[in-house]
Amino acid sequence: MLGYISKRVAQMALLFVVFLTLLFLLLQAQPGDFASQFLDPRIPAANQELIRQRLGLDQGMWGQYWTYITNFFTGDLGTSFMRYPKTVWAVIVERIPRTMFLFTMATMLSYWMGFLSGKMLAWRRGGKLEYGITLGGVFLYTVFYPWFALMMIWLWAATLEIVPINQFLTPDFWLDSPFSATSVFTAMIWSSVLVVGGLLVVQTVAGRMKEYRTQVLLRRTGRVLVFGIFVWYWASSSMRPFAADITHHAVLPVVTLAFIAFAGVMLITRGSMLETLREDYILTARAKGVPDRIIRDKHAARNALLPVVTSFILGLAFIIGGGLVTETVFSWPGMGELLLTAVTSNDIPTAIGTLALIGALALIAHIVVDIVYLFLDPRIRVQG
Amino acid sequence: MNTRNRVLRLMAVFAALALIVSACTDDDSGTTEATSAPTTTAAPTTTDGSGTTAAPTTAPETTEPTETGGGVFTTALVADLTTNNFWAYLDPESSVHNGYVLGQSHPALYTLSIPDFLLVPGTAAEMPPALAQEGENWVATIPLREGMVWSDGEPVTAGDYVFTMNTIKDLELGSNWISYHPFKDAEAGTRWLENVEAIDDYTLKLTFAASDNAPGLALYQNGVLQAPMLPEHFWADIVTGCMAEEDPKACLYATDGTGEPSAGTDIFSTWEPGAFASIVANPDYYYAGVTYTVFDDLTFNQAGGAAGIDETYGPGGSTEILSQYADGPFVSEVIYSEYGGQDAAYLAFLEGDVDYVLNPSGVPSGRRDQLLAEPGLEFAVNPSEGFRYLAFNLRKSPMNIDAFRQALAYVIDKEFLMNSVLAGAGIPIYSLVPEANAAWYTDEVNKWGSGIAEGERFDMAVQLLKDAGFTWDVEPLAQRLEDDPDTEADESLEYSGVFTDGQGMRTPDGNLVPELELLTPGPGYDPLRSTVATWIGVWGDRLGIPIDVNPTDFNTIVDLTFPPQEDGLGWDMYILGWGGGDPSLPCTSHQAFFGADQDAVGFGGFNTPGYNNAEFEALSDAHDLATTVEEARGICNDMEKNISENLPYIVLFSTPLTDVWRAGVEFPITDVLGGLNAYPNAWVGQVKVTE
Repeated sequence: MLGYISKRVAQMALLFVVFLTLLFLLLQAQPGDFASQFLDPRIPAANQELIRQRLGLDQGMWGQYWTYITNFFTGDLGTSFMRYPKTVWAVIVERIPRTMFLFTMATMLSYWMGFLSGKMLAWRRGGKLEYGITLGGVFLYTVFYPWFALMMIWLWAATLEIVPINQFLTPDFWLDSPFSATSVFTAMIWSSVLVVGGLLVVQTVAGRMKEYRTQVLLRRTGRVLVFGIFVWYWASSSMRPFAADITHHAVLPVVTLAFIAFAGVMLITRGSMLETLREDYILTARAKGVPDRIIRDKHAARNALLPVVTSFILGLAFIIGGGLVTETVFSWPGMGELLLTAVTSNDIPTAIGTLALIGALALIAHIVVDIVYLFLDPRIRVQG
Repeated sequence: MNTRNRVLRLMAVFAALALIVSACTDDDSGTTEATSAPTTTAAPTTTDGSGTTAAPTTAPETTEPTETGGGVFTTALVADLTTNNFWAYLDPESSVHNGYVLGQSHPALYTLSIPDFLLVPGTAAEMPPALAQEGENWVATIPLREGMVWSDGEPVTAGDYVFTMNTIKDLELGSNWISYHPFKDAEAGTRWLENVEAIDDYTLKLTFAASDNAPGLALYQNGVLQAPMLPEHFWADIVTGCMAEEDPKACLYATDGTGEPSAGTDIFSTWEPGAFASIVANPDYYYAGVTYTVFDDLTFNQAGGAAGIDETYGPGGSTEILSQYADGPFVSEVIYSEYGGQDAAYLAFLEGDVDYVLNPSGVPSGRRDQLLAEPGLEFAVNPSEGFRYLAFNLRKSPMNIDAFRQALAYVIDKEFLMNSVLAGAGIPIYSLVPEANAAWYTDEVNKWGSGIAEGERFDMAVQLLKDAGFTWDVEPLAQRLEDDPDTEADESLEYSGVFTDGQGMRTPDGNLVPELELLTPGPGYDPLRSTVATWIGVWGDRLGIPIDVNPTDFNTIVDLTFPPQEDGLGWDMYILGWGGGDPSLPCTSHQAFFGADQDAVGFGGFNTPGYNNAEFEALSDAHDLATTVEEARGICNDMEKNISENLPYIVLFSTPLTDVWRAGVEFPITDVLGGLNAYPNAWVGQVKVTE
């Protein structure tokens, strides 16, 4: 097992270098450079050359490549051209919490909705409900996303005025805020992570109890305790109104993203469930008189989970990249919007830094999926 | 299972509700109180500038010192603020969006009056003195106003100016800073500012490098005298610390500008990156309540307010008021909400979230009709400072032949393009200086066929080419009615509107004119330029000039035409545009675009065509030495005539700029060259919010 993992890591490391090189070459192939933005007759033209020198653009492509690669592997992503002299890391660190919050919430919601509906559809195959939801799902899966997002804004924000339009906070509410948005986002993410972690601990501990009643009691008590601590923390925190403001702004983008993403999950789950329901052990369970609910939820759904888990883990890797469309349409200044601005303004260090981070996480996610598969599916074994 | 699910769901709903309900509850730590109305300070000592003339016979109305706190002015930025550091704003972070927020907080010795672009005293106590010769150097001694203070109570002194200029020089700051302090190593020319000295707290002495002639307006009045002043007491230790660093400039630019005192109408207050920034009214603003009046003879008067001043500059005598408004600040706070793009910003505007969108390109044409249909909005349409142009590569044949460019100028019917094809989306222009800049505009430029019928201008173009020695295998022809057997004779019509395209065009030395590439931004980037290029291609083909119109990426055009260029031979013609230059001295741009020492090849300048014209060079030299506006204006007009005659550029068109704001907001001015977005730092302190 260790040998397999080491081999996979080595392969991924090599792939990452190739990925970085291709990324660099692709971005270099763009016409123009960052200094072109300073074409201004009021400023001496010689200043262009000074800018190029300052940003290292006078080194030539291979010189820049060598500098970049050597710096990258020492943890230095370079200086952002757009935010000079701020480092790329500093810019990314400012943006990551916003993106993580939005896309984690949307991903969790979409997988929850998608898995539940996919499971139900496969189970109640042939009914009107299945046709209705499948049709709706295919519509959402194929709809032109920017249009759909604008329609959501028009309906919920502009017409019904239930949620705010754009941005991730209300400026005049935050004018005297003692907290930065980043610190509030960070607190929200950590508290959510702790809730999820707490629930997992409760589930694991309860699962080890022999008595069924003890299991149930432990689970319920544990969940109440975890959620209680979560609610108590936020109820007593002075960050509470600011977190609530962010949550209020996040509702529309999260729901929109979840609607778009859930259809894919639903269709994967549905297909996987239908495959599983044809297995012999399902027939055996039915023959034994096991209740439908148990067959559906324990025998079929758990086994149908494998492709969904794969998709979920790989999806998590791309959460950090955010979404160009979502963040632009909803004025949510996260990683997606940063990437778009960096690419369009030829800020190569920021663009590569952002894409490299996404690439690294995607590669790690692939390794994680390989390892998780070994545990989830006992039929998979490492060979060679 | 059901019970467990129910409990789980209840918990989740409860947690979400807790957050939402908490948002609606009162909480001291979360509520935002409007900034309390700051009180006005006692009137500073009145300073009558020497060189002032008698006040006009009709004294303008003056406004009493203001009590600020009249509401909040909310605006939208269509791109993010990227710094709160003023030093960085004028160098690596010199975006217009940063300027919208930071541009109003720093005083200068002299500023330009808006909307008339007159040079008027800011921290200086009188109009700029003429430079005097001291040895081989040129010097100016400038008295400063007493009583001006930074928002933390420290006085604004000559030391602040000296500190700012020395920092520019010592740290070798670039971009805009070089224009404000052209120090020796940064300025390739023969004139630079050699020394800045504070004789006392309120007297400055500027020393320019030795030269035979006094520095002209560009260097003196429109350069060093308009340099912003930064507070020495806030920055001195930071600059000293940075000087010890490996990269002092990077260190300075990385410094957080929060807390920097202001001497403008407002003080930078809050910044939540990616979300919003805000500025609050400066209760110690020197010019609070002062009324500015410009008369039709360009006499300028500033009077009243907390400063209790009454100063008049210019010829005096006229009573006809051109513009008049009072200085603020009239609102307690200005909020700049950051939106990722125009769509989100205008959506927020339509929903009433913001009063005004700070968009350098004005309201997009696609949005205009939608906004016009909305109630409660007010509009202003202003001419643009910028222009779109067709540039020729004068290093290559046949573009280097005057008649070739002039013939193309004859057949490019701008009126037809703008009025008929583009339905008024653009304004046909013939000079680089817009007509709206009345003080500098000249109508005496060659307009190449303007107002002449299509057939006739075509014939004139063909004749011009023939005279220059061009030949064709098939000569281009604008058919006349008598040439066309199918058309009934009508003596009132001379041309039939049918053309025979020229073919096999040859240059005067007998070479076949090769296919010429016309680079233009694609329709996705700018449909106007793309359409114009297509028509130029059509008209060129009629003349027998094989033009291949190539809509391409903006950066590709810049890469091919702007520095660094090895030989500059990679292009034939291109269409791009320039934004506004300095409206108070517009021909400094002409020098940058067409000066021989600004050639993109060899000199790394913006003279992409490679124009090198003796007459223009003489005018450029004279412009550098002009010490009065009248002198510079005459030279500028001659430069315009030279360019319009020799056509290194064919100036094509400009676009009107539309501004829209919510009723209840009052701007001090609405009719201004370049639109309101061109000078927000000049008016943001004077905005009133009445509803």
